[in-house]
Amino acid sequence: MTAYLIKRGGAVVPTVLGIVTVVFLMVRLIPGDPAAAVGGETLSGEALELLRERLGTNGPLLEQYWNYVSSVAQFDLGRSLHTGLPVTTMVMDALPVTVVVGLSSLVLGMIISVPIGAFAAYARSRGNVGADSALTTGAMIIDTIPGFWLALIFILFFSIQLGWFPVSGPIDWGDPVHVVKRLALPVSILSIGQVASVARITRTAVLESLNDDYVRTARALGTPELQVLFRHALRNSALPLVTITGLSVGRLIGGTVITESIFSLPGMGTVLIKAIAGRDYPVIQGVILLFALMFVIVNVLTDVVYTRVDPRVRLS
Amino acid sequence: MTNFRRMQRRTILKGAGAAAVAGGLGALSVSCGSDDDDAAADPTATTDAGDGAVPTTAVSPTVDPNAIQLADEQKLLVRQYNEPVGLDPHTLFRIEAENIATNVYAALTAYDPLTGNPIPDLATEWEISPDATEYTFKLVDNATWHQDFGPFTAADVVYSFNRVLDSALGSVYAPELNNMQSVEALDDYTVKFVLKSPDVNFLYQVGNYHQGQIVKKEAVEKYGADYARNPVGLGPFEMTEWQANSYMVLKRHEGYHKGPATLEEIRFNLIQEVNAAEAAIINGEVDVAMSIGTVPERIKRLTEAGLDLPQVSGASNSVWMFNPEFGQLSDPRLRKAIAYGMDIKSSLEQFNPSARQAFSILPQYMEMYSDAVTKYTYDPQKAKALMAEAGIESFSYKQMTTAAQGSVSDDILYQQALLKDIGINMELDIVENTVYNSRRTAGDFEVSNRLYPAVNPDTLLFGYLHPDNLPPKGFNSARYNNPEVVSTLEAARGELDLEKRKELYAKVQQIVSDELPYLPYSSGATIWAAYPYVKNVVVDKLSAVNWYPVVIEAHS
Repeated sequence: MTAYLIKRGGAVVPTVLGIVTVVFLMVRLIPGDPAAAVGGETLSGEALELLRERLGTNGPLLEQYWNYVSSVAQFDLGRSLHTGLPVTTMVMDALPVTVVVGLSSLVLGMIISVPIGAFAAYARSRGNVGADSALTTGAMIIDTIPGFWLALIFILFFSIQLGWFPVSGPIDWGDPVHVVKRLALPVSILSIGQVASVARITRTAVLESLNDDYVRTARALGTPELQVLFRHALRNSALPLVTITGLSVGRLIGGTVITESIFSLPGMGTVLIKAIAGRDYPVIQGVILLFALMFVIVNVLTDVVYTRVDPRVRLS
Repeated sequence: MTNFRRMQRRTILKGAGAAAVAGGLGALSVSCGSDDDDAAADPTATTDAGDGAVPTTAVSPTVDPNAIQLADEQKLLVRQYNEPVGLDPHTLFRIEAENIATNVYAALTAYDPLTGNPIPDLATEWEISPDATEYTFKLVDNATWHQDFGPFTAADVVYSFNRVLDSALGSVYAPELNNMQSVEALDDYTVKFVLKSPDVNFLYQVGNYHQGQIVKKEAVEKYGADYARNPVGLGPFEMTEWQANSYMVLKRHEGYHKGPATLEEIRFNLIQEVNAAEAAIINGEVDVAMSIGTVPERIKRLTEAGLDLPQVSGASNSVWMFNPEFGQLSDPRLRKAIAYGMDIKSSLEQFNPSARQAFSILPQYMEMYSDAVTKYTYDPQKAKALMAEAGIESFSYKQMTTAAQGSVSDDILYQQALLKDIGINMELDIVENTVYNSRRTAGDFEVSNRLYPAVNPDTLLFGYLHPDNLPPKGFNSARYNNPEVVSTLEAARGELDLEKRKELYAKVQQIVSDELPYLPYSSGATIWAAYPYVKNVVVDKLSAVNWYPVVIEAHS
């Protein structure tokens, strides 16, 4: 295990360097001048030239790249072109919100989608095609609803009509009730976004398990159906679920970017959206680098979890 | 002080702040009730220049706080639509920061919220030399800096303006003071500016906006690179907390020179998405929502929810800019054909009812606005005749535009359809906002649009029409260069007589409307939303609110 982790850790370095390079080039390929974004629409060209000089965005590309890579190597992500704040500070301030929202969504998404997939598989195995189709089609329809649209509908209904949840304001971490109310809508939106894919994978895996001999044996021994489904079939379908959970993190990261912005949450998605609109190169690079690192780490963890879920799997 | 007053009374006429600028004059100095302590302490007081001068409204006296029952807790929650980049007025901040900056900082003059004209603030009175090259300001003697940085003196003014001009700072506002030769403190409460050439509009340049906002040397040095996040000013509110991407808190400044504000605290919650902002105010999560947009359906919903809609209309005009370097558009007949081929009035009525068609580069509220201009109203026959005169049956051009909220505005699509009917093919060149700004600044477009908020007519006319301001240096994106207009503009800048100056500006507006390098398009509104218990929210000509007179009425 340790050797494996060291080996995977070593592979992270070129991955990160690749990400750093791609992101560096990508943000500079986006048309638009950071000085124009920072300065707004009423700055004249003369003022913009002064600003470019101050921001250091008028130097040669290679020089900018070298400066950036050497800073990252020293764990310095630079300072925001807009606020002048260290990117590390901005990212670390925003990280807790994103992690809490992301993890909560992941868990809630699993709680919703795994039973849907399992029941769909069960219905299918018992010949109830209608119920299976209804569950899987329903999940797919939900999957096609754009998150930002659903967010607005949720705001309209739960926030304006019913007045249950706030849509703005800082998060008071010391007040759990406030935290739950403040994060309920964004977490729900992100959870719903995962339902279709997780339910589909669960359904396929469980359906396969339900046809296995050990399930037949369990039934023959008189084990109750719910127990057969959840204790035996579902447990043996865990491997694909772990895979899809790891992959969901990527999707969640994409989802948080939009959702945080709509719900005015001070997370990394909000930071990233503002940075992109403002061509704030160091912040874009910093946030994407951290997102990429999170994804890499989750993938390593997924591999490790495989060995726990299925002792036959060996890390090599 | 006494000598100053004696000299003033002996040598010059008196006038109100607005009159001193707009009237130039004649009335070369202003005295604005600085002896009237009651007026100074009353946030809703109307200042009186005395001697028969026109009174100038310091703040909009919508409600007298003494006439209503005030809430016990004077704490306000406001929706802020974008986080300020920073609050160092000399390095950079954008329009969204002004609602905070103009309340944290103060300047020699402020802008009257209703007229946009300069009115006294840190300067109680001023004297302008007959040739408008020397401005001497008498300062308040009771202003103190936030965070116990001590009393305000003329040395602070000298430091502040020299800081803007210091090339080491690289202030983006240094070009605004290009005409300033020197600034010196005559004593602790008198400061004198010398200009390189006459400028009757200089009072605007020292107003509460960017380069005019006074900063404290010791505070700038203390906070260094972090000063933009730790602003120290002389305004009625001081910044006490700033949580990135979340909120900012202002608390009233007890040492404000007009007396402490009634409001104790203003918390600006960052809510960028306008639908979320609408939900937030309807839910009561905020008391006031800044810039809520002009979508009629939303305005209707907010009205139905019982909210007040403080707003400013016609504060600035949006213009279409024709790039003459694109062959077809160098012919004024074809530019006019575009103008006559569009039904701006109907389109605005349909798609943006809070806006009106504009006919000049200057907004109508400005004293220098002239109605004697060529007005382009929908006349497809005239448009066709102009094209025939130019020997062209049809032509295409690219209209650079953005896709706000994910789609091109209905207004543009409507005009596109009308133009197509007369043989003008408007191809949409849709770009993202930052790209739009960059390309516009570089002059890289065929036709685009600009909304330039300013209260100084000289800023607008010089900016758009003077060849010194060609892109990428300045805003003259139409690359307009008419020697007659240039000489008239320069004469107007040095003209002290109000009527003569009006005539000069009217002449410029007439010539420009006839040659049409820019097509004045619309004059829109900035609309806020507020609960009725929040009194005295007045959106000024720069779309900002002076929070000093705002109070919260007792409510259930």
